[in-house]
Amino acid sequence: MRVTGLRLENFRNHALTRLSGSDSVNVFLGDNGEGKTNILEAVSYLCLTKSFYAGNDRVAAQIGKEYFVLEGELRSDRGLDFTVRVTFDAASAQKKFLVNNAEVETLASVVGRFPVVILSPEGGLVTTGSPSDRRKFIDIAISQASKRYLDELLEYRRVLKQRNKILLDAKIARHDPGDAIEPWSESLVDHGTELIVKRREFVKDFAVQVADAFQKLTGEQETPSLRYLPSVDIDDGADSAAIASEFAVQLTENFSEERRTGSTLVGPHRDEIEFTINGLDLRKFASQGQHKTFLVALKVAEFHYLKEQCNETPVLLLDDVFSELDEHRSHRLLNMVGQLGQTFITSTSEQVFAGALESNSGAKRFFVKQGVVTNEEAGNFVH
Amino acid sequence: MYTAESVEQLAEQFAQLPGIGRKTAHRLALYILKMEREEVTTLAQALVNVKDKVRYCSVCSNITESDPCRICSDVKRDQSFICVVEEPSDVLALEKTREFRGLYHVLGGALSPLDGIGPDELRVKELLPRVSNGVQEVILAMNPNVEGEATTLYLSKLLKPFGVKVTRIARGLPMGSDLEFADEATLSRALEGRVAV
Repeated sequence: MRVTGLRLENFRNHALTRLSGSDSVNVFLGDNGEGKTNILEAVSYLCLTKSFYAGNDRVAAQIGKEYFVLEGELRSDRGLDFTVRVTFDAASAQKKFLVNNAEVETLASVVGRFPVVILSPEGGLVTTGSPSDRRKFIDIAISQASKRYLDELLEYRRVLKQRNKILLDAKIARHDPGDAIEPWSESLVDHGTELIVKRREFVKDFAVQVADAFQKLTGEQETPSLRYLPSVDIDDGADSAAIASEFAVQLTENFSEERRTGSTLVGPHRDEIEFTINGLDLRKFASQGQHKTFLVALKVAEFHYLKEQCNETPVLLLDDVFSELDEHRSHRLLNMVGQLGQTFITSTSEQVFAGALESNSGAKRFFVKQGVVTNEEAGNFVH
Repeated sequence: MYTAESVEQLAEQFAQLPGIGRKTAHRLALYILKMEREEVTTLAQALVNVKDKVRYCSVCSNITESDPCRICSDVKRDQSFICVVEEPSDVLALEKTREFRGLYHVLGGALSPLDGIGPDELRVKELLPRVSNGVQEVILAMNPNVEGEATTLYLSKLLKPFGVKVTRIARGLPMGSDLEFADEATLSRALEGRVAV
């Protein structure tokens, strides 16, 4: 998929901005706070119905304005054109999403239709944050490809809540929950086993993609790895039935401890995905630059995964990615994204592009100043 | 407020009903004010009757005015099948099919610790003596959600020692709809539960 045209009205600091993107790399240059990221945010709205960093639609309207309108001309890999429009009205707090002038039934139905991969500073938590940040990353990736997984995940969370309530009540009242907990334990094992199987399969495939992207970025200096560490201790080749029975055994083993703490201690809600470089834990030993490189590799892998699962090339949004990367890796990244698909990049410095994009005749650069975008044709990336 | 106190009081009562907001409550109260006195009396009587006359069947726990209920006392119904459901409305839904000619058992909900509902809050112990009484099959027809599923698991374990056949209703595609419009989760479960033809 590509964004061939973009129109922003009353959006952030853009009163009215129109631009036609290149099918290849689009670079937005400008100082801090001029409105570069807002353009990426607009693409995010058009593909995912929401911003990638602001939780609230109201703040996205230009200050003093009561509405915003975003419009995008999207072209699918097969050459079909879509006009996508997002309107937000602050008075009624209503957001509408229209594809070819027809309003979609639910915003959720849009997700996955226009795939997009976003690399922003906010996404950095995946490598630096807690296990829950990593679980969130793989849950979102698998859910985009499999609605069944999303369903299982939501049901698992509900069962977990119910089971924890029994444990907590029993702890407070100091009584034995008895056989009231049994159906919930059984349900937890049922749903949890499906999650474990899917996650294990995903991480295995995904690790290969990450290693490949990482190598292209660094030139084979380092070997990254992803390892799925399920909270339920299982053998590598265990099948569903073996995982389920192991899960049940470990629930029983931990039961007295669970009664003491009043919560469920084993299960996918406590899984970890370990990231390593040359066998060393990323969280403990990696530099800022290595974190960033790993993050970029994860995102490139996500790009390939989504492309395969959705049968559509995602749009790539890179917000301020070069700040921690050395020149060598920055250039390799630019070369790589030039071959992947359409990319939108923000940067405060033009320097990083010097010598990297001259060979890419399709590249376009735009200057952003106080919400006004001016563009210059490609080919003049000489510094 | 420039309105009569009684109207306010009535609106207040309506607003407590599910699905009724403040504006609707007011509109209903004013509508009742316009109704004939006779009609209002009939309505009021109907409300009181529901509380006074309706009770739970001592056999199946469904709502009824005569005990045992019409289904439990119907000799033409097959006494060897019991279909277990969550709510009286589920009985209504199943009766509309005219397919099932056995008896029912209404639990009065599903297991949900978050709402304070455990096995003791459901009419489970009333089910057990019925099962040991020459019943061939117990059909568990719970809602297809997490709570219904846990209830199914609980009951199937509980009924095992009775040596009775325990089944659960199938999950899958709604009739009369197109495959292409089914959501992925339903469709993948339907694939899982496929049967030989």
